[in-house]
Amino acid sequence: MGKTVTVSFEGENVRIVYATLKKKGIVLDDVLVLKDEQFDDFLEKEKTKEFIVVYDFKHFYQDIISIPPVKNRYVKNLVEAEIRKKASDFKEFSFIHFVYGEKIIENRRIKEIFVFAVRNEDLRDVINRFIHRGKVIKAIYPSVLTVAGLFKSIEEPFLCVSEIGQNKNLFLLRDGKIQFVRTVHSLAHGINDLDIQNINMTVNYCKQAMRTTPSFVMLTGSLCSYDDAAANISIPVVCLAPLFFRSQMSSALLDFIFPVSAFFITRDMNLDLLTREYKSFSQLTLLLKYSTFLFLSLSIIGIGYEGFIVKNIVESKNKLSSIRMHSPDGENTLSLYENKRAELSGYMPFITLLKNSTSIPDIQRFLSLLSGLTTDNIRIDSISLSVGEGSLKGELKGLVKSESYANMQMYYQKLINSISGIKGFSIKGHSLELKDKTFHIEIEYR
Amino acid sequence: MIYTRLKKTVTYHLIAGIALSAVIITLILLSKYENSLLDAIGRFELIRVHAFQMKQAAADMDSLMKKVSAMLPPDYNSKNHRELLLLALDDIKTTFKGSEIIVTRLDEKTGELSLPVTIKFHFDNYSMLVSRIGYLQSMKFPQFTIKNILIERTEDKQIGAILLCKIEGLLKMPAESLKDGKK
Repeated sequence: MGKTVTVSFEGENVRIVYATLKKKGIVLDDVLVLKDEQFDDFLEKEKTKEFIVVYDFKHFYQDIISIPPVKNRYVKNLVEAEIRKKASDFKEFSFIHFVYGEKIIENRRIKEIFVFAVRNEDLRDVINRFIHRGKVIKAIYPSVLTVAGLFKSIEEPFLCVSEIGQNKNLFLLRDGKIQFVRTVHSLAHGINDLDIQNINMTVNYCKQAMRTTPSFVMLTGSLCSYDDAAANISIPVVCLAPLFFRSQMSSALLDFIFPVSAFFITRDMNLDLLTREYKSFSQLTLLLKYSTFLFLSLSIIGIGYEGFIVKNIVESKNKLSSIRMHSPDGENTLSLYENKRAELSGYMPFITLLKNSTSIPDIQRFLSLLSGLTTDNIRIDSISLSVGEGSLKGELKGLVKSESYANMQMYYQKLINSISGIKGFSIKGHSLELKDKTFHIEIEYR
Repeated sequence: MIYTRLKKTVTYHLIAGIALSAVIITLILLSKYENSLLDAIGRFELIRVHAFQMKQAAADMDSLMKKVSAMLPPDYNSKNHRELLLLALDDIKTTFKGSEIIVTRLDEKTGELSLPVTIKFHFDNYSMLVSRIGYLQSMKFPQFTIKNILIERTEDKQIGAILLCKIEGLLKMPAESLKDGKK
């Protein structure tokens, strides 16, 4: 919802309505009436960018055409082809169309479509006035159909009469959809005998040709001032103003029925006559504007990020120069290291000799530990040691001095236990000969 | 053609596009420069650490060489390695007074001088044996490497039971002298 401006071209006059669209209707903010020649100056000065345009096209083609029932996406092309066929003087045109009804002719279903076409050159004249002043047109509605926006809720058929300049537009509406449009030239403003004759003829035409009887005639806009003169019309006459606007609508506003009606037209009514070319132009303009905005936004973000990187670079440079300043002299250190390494290579045989000696367990300690063994009634006759890979292999031989076997075993076991209890000692094998009381123990020391 | 009306919009669009491209290119260049700076900082840090490590290693090598030099015999500079080896053998002989010392041939293999030595002696005090083994182990240059030890009780007709020790080992010394001007 927001502020919207509608411009209605009605003969020599241009009526402009400023309104605010709200959820439950519209609020008219301002109205203007200009002469057509003043309009360009107005556009130049006007700050509003987007406009809804209502235009009273002098030349148009309208008909009800029949097409076979096809898928919706093919209807438009078929309708366009039919218009080209029927209106040979329409080369480039824009059109609106809606399904009028269906008929069965010779057992074939036929779709009846109401079409309203306008030459693109007529549309361009209007559009260019806006483009040249940098304005955007949201939609262009033909004046003759604009009033239909107000009658969406009326189901019964009725004939609507509106006045633009000295012309009278007569159109039949049913279910809020336009069924038929006729524009007739009038002798003067308001309703005169010729107009009444035309209205009555149109009512008869609807009855005979379209088999639809209008329930009433609705006079719109300034014609409401002449409702007394319409007494000779063959069906009842009603006036738009009291019915729809009631007391809120001043009589002056009756003149603005077309621009006001345009606010009530919704997209699903398909009344927009904007050319494909202009739609593409609008989309492209919008795309370019958005992408320009996006590029500029990204550029600004990028520049911000660049600032952040530059700050990091300055910090890194300071850190780097600090490191370089406090680093030891690489070349001197390297040459010192190389010299020491070369010097050390001369010592290596000595160092290797020392290193090898440390890999052998301490024999002195091994012998000291042996002196702490429990040797009650044990006589050790020999100790032999041999140096292996990282270990010492020892062998104890001796005799248990005991008369009884049991005591012999006990003393022997005490010896075994005391060997096992020494840290670093492990018994690899042992034996006790009962015959001669001799023993043999193999020890490994790490 | 209504599209001629787009000239201004397209111009702005192009300017914005060029500006964005310039920003992106600058951003890429700055990022690369920043990365190379960070890389350089990392490398300099590494060099600094390595330099400190090299300094420490040089100090460790120096200390090790001093330790080795301190272990060399006092007369190392005036004698060659064979002389030093035989001097050590004389020392052993003095320490193991009354013992039988058997030596075979002085050999030189894989940059090492080695002299096989067998020491046989009687003893009656176990702690003396332990201290003599300790003496052999404490020899550094030349070094005495013990291969086998045999301690056994034997019977002597006159004295009775005696303890006999037989030590087999190698007296070792590097074949080459120190290359820093010392022998």
